[in-house]
Amino acid sequence: MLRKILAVDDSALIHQMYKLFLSRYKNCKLISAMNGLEALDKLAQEEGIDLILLDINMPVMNGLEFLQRVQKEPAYQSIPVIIISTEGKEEDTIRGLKMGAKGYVKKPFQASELHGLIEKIVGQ
Amino acid sequence: MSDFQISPELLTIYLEDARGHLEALDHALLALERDGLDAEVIAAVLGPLHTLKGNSGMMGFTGIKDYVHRLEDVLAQVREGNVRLTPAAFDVLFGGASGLRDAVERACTEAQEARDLVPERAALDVLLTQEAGRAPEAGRAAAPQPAASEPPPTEADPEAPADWGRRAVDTRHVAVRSNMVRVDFGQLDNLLNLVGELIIYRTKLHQVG
Repeated sequence: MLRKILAVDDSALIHQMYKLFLSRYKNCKLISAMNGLEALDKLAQEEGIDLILLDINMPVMNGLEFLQRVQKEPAYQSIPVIIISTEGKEEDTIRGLKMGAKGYVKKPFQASELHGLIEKIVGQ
Repeated sequence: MSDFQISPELLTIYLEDARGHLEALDHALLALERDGLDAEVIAAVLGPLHTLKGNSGMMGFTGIKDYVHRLEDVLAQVREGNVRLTPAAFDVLFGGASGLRDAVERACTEAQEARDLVPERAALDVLLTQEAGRAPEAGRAAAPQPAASEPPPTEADPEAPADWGRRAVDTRHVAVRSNMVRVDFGQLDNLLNLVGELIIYRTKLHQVG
């Protein structure tokens, strides 16, 4: 059962959409971060994060740099990561998958696409 | 077709975000026109454009998303030196930015795309396909044309680099882009200081007189 999802994206709109899309997972807490650095803070503060939804192109610390740090940290490396990429940056998505991300969804995506991938990866 | 409802709340968040990104685009274009090619300026605006593209796609504003995608391509080519920043290229970029802003505002007002950006996108395509430094007037031809009541455009030398001073007196550009004048904060601050000094000296002269 999903308890906590960390969503990392520099767009307030995408965070609002996550609220809508993920509301179907009852009792699941959605934690938001606007960049990789903020996401590292959230990881340190919040225990039991089950899934990370990760944008790549962000200021301060981008998604790939964040992913690299997560993969180096034993406490976090088992948390599945789904890359949420945008058209035109396919090479970054491939890099992210090589670095250990479990899957990706390309913007624009449907809520059902995200649900399908989450359920495939975490077995919800 | 989206499997979720575009709510007024989502439109508000999208618009607020988009306005910030469009402002970043305006600043970048003005800086490029004033100072010439600067890879850092282009890199700084590509991030906001990428986010605007992603957001527009999520809202189902495909025309806006496609235009921004093409604009990203053009700016990347400018950064690589494959597209030159001629006056004609700036016509296309500024005209496109104006159209993009209109498209975003109208999409948010009407909760669906109401402004066609195909002509602006075609103008970007011309910039991309023409060889660097060749036939930049084609870009001007594909750009949105001014209204018939406006004065005829000043002929610009296509081979000439962007010239801030010369373009500053071309009223057609000003009329097409915006009804606002952007002034560097430092200059404005300096001007206010000078006005302050002027008032002080005038008062002193009155006292002497």
